[in-house]
Amino acid sequence: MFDFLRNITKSAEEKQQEALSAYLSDALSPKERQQFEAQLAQDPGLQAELEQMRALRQALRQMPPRRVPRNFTLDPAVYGRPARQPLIQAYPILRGATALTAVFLIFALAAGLFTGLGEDAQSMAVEMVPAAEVALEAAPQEEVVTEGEAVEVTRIVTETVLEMEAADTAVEEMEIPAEEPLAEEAPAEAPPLVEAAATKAMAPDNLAGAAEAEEAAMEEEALPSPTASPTPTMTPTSTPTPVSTAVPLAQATLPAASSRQAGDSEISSAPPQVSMEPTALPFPADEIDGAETAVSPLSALTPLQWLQLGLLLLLLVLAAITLYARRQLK
Amino acid sequence: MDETALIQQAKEGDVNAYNRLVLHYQQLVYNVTYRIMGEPQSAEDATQEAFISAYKSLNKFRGGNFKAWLLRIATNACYDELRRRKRRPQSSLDELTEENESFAFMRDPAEGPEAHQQKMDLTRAIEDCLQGLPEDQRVTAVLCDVEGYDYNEIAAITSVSLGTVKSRVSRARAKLRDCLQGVQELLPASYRLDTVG
Repeated sequence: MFDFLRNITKSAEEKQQEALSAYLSDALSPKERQQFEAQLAQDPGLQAELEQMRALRQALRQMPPRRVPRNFTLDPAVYGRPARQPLIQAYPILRGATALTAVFLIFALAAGLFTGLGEDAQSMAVEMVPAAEVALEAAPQEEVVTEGEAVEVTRIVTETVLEMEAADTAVEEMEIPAEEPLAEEAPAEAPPLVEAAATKAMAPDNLAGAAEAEEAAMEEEALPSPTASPTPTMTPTSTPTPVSTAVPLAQATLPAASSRQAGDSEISSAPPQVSMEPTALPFPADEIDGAETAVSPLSALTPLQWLQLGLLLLLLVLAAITLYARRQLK
Repeated sequence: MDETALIQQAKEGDVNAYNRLVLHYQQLVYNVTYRIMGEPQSAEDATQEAFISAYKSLNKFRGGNFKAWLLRIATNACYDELRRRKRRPQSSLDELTEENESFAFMRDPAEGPEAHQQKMDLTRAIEDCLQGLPEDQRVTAVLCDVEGYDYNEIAAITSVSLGTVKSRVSRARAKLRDCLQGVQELLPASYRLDTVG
């Protein structure tokens, strides 16, 4: 390629000189030779120049050889075994391994490309369904949560609290182990505050404030309404039905329940809090979707992507070593 | 001489086997280095350096043309020696006196004293002109026109492309022709460039 570029910059005279020299050294291709001979037949000046060059070459070839002034043999006592060159001896293997790795990497990338297209289409379809549901459900929720619905929410909350009070009364009569299934039912969902309040209520030395504590616990237990309602999960990954958006609902109920006496007008102010904002969650978002927020880019890689990454790194290392070995060869 | 076997033995540390290779190639290597260096002492140093270096890196030789590989090491040794010489220029008076003795052994018994003198004059003129060439062109001219290697072999020895070899040979010949035309009164009639063609 560099020869091609160099030829572009050469003058016609330089090209003719090179052709003449190459003709003299029998280094022209048959086609070039034919062209040059045709040119030679028509150009007496070129013929004269060729003869000059031929005479020069003959003079150079007839230079007498020089006598060797001494022998250049090595002393066996001084020179031991030639140094081993493991990198250079392994050069053919390195070169082959580099080429093979490059081929594997190309296959892996191609496989990733083809499977990725299919997976992307599937995952996009899967992701779009809940997104659409959320969009459909969230939008009306914000718009439709009117005063009447707020009253309905308050009614549900009130019923729930009453049920919980009834259940708690029953629980008080039961043995402590009987409570454990309830606590275990949603250990992750029930905030520690609930258990603390419950424990505090069950503590013998706090019997005096047990009623208040129970009431507080009831209110707190109303928070994880999923534990009491048919929609058990609270994580954002759960189906985002209006009821299963338990956290916002619970948040809505918390001020609502705590300010029941304040009247419906105050409760109607709850809807703005019926939002999906993670900052409004009653406990850190890490606890809810910790698995997703703590995911590092590397752990999100598929096995095929790991393979691609590994092959790429291997190729880089092998290429570097091969180039180094090649430099050593020269 | 089984060159391959000697090379293998030398790789295993048999210096005597390597010395047999040295004896076989030293005339060739010395002449190439002499034409490139232009004087005996530097040629001797470069030749010795080339043989030592070739032995040390014998395990780098992976088969093929051992002579070309050896000549590549020799030309590299010449380049190193030329760089050293540039750093510390030296007189060549001693070499001129020694030169006649060196040529004497090549004298053809049937050749008369006058013919021998003409031949020596011509050789000296060519050597002077060779020394006037740039290093790369000189190496290429020596390998091509003095030693008779083809373009592909020269490309392998000097580690350059075929196009570069073509270009260097062409330029070197043109310069040598111009140089020798300037001293043509020294040349015998048969070697006078302007009388031909």
